[in-house]
Amino acid sequence: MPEFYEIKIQGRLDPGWSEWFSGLQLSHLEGDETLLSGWLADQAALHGLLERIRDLNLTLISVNRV
Amino acid sequence: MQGTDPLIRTKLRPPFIRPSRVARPHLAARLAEGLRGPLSLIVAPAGFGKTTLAAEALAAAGLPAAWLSLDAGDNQPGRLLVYLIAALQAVDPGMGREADQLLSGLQPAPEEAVLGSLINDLEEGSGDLALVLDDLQFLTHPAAYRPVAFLVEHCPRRLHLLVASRSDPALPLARLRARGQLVELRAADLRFSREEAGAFLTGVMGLQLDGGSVALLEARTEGWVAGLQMAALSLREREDVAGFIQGFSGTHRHILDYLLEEILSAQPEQVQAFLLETALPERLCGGLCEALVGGEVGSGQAMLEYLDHNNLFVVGLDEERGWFRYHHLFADLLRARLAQAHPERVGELHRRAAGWFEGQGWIAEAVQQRVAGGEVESAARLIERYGPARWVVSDPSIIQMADSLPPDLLANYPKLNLYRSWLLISRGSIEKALPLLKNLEEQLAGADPASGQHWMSMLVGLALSFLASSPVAPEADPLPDPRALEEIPADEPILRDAADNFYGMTLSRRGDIDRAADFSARCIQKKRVSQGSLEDIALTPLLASLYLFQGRLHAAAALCREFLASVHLKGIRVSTACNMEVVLGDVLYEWNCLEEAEKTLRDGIRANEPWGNIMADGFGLLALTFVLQAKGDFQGAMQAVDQFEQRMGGQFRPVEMRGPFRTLRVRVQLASGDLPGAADWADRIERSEDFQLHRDDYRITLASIRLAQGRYAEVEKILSGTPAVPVAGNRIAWQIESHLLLAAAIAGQGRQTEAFGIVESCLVLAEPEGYIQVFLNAGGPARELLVALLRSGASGHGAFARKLLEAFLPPGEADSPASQPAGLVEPLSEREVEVLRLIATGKTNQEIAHQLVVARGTIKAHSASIFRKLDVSNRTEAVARARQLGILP
Repeated sequence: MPEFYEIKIQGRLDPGWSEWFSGLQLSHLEGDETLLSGWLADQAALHGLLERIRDLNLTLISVNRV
Repeated sequence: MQGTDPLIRTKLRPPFIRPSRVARPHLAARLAEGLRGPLSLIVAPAGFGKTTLAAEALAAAGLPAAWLSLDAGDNQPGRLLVYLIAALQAVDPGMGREADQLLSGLQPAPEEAVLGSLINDLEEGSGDLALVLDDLQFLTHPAAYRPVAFLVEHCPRRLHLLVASRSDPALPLARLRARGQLVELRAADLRFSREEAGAFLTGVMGLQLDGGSVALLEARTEGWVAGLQMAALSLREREDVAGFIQGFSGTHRHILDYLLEEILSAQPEQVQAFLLETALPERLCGGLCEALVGGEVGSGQAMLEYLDHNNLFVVGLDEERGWFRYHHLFADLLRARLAQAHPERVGELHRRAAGWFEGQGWIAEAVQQRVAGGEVESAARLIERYGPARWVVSDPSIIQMADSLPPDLLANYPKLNLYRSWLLISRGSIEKALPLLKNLEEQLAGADPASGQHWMSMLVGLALSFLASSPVAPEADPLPDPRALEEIPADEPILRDAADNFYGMTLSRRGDIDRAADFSARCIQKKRVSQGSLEDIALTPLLASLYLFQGRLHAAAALCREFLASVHLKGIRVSTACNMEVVLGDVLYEWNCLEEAEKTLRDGIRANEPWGNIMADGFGLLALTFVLQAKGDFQGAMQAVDQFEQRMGGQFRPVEMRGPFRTLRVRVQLASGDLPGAADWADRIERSEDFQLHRDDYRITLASIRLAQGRYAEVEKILSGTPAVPVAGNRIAWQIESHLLLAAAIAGQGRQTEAFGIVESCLVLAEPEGYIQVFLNAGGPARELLVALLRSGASGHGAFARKLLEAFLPPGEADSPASQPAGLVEPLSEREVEVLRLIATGKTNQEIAHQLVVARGTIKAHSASIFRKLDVSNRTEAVARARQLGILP
């Protein structure tokens, strides 16, 4: 069941990373944060994405299902 | 086999640490301290220097160390165990031998037994030992995790685990922490201090920086080593150092984005291209790089060495500096950058890597690259092209890779699906083979007769007939004329083998053993003319087992020995050797050569591991059960029964195994002396529906139990009438066994002469092929009958009968019959006498087990057997009776 997620990470990532993060859209927030948002197919896709965030040593701030 | 693969060897070696690095003695010392306890952890995100620190700590602790770098592939069940054993063996080659055997002997391996054995080995050795599990975060599958948890839970005192991971491992950390048994270093501990950052930037990376610049870089990277390294790489060769540092600390862009771009742009264009184009494979060597990037021979290796020399995030994986990988983080960055900058190149690079691997003969890697590049069609073609040839040399792993491809796609590869079906059938995965075959049948039915695919549909038909065949409906589906098999093209030897096997096995399953043997012998004869060697002919194992079914022990043994001797002489590995060992083990068992039989059977079961042939497992475990039982090792026999039942547990258990599956456990139970348990089982079974449907399967077992209970008339009734001949198994042994039971029951009712006649008929059956064990199994009653028969002088087979009686004596006592107490129906074995002596000293079972170094259950089984033979019901009576008989002083 696809769900829409918003994932906030610290630092400004270029939009070019979208492909690497399952095609989620990247937008900059105030205070040097980046929001990844978009549809993920299921929980497995979400976990895979979180692993990628971990593997790049990005700081995860929040995960929300909208 | 796997130990020789250079790609796998790279997993078992600690990576090389650069001599020029920032020494971190305080951290190494904390870990070295931790390495005195059971578990130490380094948990931090990518790029914090976990691996380097682990290697440094090992050097500081001065321990011999086993190393295992995990990757995502280790989530495949069973694989981690293989690597764990290999890693430990790299330190101590003697370790894990039994674990290796256990692992390879079983389908599927009982993990806890393997680990238990490994832990025993570890406990027995001396001297402390470290085991490093690097990159544990790659283990994501809970089942794959179990061995690690088990190892932590049962950690032997001399073993010290060091785990490096990007996330907290799923281990009972809180408990270990509370007990003070855990030393852990986390990201905060691993961050470089300002002094360390300074030492790194100036000392290791050779930059000229003032204190203020160091402080800015340290602050901006928060002491993250990979960040510092990337910053340093960007600074090299740059004139405006101050400007860079200003820009870097002032930008809002993410550090990764910023630095990767800086690093790449600081490199010559050729290096930039090289980095991106070699980012995809997990491991790299010079040749592979050349295939990816282009360039002359040697340029790839030169570039890898340049990167290594310039600290550009490569890790050497072997001493020869042949294989490298990028730091994981850097590889991820490069891949992301490649996908971003040149998405159109990704497919091409996977293709090139695949092509190179294919050229080197690393087909599995080639297939992986094709799949990763989304080219499943090419992957399927690769498998179809190389899988069969690998199979011919006994390696089915390539064919198996097709399992991960989409079924819709595979429908376009009927031949590949035929191979898969044959493999699935030989492994007993009928539930997976049947749908494949049904689809093939449908698909091929519509094929144009001129398309040259007729032989395929014939083969599918043969496979389906085989799966449907049973002795109940022998004429179900007439088999084609064997000449039709010639239609199979000569360049498909494996499928021809499959067809021959289906044909022969179908005949055998329908009860037509003689015709099956005839067919197999003729095929083999013909192939020997053209191919020469027995071991290349896939039908040989079938013929050997058919000889065994016919009761022709000498013919079976001769065939097996010739086959095995040839394999041994040539030093080759042949998948069917395990089947031959199993048949030979069975023959040796009948001849009462129990030690040799056990060894041969265990070898066969182990050799079958990569193959997983269900018949070799089934017949092998059956025979092993009987061998261990005959040796008095009832605990071992019960373990074999467990394995047998586990392996044969599925819905589509082979017809050949259905009878034994019903009764194997209770047979061991009875032999071990648990008559009440066996009798309960018999009462229950006789009331069951299964008994009504499959009476013949229960016949002999039931008769044995009733005989042991002294219910002779019942035995006679059970054995009267003509049963269906069993679909598999030695017919002569079966007949003798059944006759001996009947004779004992008849003698028990006082009809001695009638019983003699039956025993005499058994001798007639047994003598030509030398059957011994079947008489020994029948135990005391058979022995008494033989003695009485000899005394009566009525036997025409006196010499053979005397030979049998000698076999009843325990080894070493054959020449001193006087040592056999006259009052005993069945003599005590040497081991039993030993146990009895210890019982007489008042020791408990636990104490005896300890002294004899066996499990307590084994002693209980021995006691039960002693009580039965002495006809007593407890220890006190046993000792008294043994004294009375002169067994004990």
